[in-house]
Amino acid sequence: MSAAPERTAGGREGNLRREGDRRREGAGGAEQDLEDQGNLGNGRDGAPPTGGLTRRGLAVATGTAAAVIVATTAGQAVPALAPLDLLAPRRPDLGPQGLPVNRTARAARVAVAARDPGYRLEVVGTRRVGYDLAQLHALPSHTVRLPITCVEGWSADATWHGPRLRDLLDAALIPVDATIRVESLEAHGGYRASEVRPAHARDPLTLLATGLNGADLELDHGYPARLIAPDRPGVLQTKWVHRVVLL
Amino acid sequence: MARMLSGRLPDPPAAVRRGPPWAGAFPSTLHDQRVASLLGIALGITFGTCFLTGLVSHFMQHPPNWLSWPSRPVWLYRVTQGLHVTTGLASVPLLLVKLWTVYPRLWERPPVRSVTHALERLTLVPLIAGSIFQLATGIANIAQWYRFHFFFTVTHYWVA
Repeated sequence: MSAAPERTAGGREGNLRREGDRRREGAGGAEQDLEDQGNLGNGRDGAPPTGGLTRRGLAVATGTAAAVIVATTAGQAVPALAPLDLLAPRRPDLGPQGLPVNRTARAARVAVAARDPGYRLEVVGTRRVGYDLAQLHALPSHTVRLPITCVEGWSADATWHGPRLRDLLDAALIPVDATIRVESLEAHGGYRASEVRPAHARDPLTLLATGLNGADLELDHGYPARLIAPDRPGVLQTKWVHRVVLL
Repeated sequence: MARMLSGRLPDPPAAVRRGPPWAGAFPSTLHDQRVASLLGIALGITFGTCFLTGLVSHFMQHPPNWLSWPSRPVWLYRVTQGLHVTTGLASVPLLLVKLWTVYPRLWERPPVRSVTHALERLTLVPLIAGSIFQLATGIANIAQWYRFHFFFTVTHYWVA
């Protein structure tokens, strides 16, 4: 009898009350009995003796908080939820040419190099093939509809135009099972180049895009040319491409 | 061996005993194992999904030689990464409420009953710290708020 108040004050199980313990200890102490009586009227969702949230109330509040967060952030990836996209850091339809930009040309310090009229794209395989701007735009152009998905969670569909990567690889006699590296004009940074394995390099949807949504690619989207491949993280969709090399 | 691990350790001397700050310090019936386990199930689903989709993202960006990701379906990464960020965000209120539900246990008395009990409590430290760290740095990352002096993706992966 003397040990009972100590138990209710947070003894053996801390204050984490177990249904079973309560039943076992039910006859043990006066405090415990009082508490049980306080809960009687409300059944399993019994109100605490001091008044406050019920279990159901807590579940509803927590569930609502989680649901509101999901509903107001999922819009950065789910087009149907875009109007609700209040808490997410991105709106997938805002940005130049209707598409967000994560890293601008200025941040990547390529603004001058990318606008250089003397720009050349080099594809280096068994053969080395170079293209100036006019030659790049004269290549057979394809149009694909592909999402761009940032690792930070936003994604958006876009229409891309440009030569297929595999046609450029073929011209440089790069074997079909080869892994290649696509290099940006960026001089520094962990994501200045990316490797492309055969599954993506040879996919007919993979382009070295020079256009976006019916217009020339804007500088911040990777002008003069950028990689766009299906099912690939955005940081690996290298922008401001100037070299493609066989590994 | 089993007896050594589960044998009761001597109680600390009365002078250093600390229980809850005062009797009835946690009056809410919501500090309750059933509430905690329901939240645990919900967290298991969101954190579990977040963890698996995080692994997908990691190995897509750093594929080992034996692993070649498919280029189809074209929306696969969009779905896995959308789920990763969304389930991570949904975990925030769930984790906070769960920690609130069980925090009276911090004042459990005696603090350690046996060697296994001590190990059980110690393993919770990296688990809780890791969960909070992952959610906090993940949110900082999606907001592009890089105030921490470590490389996000590497640390995020190793803490996971």
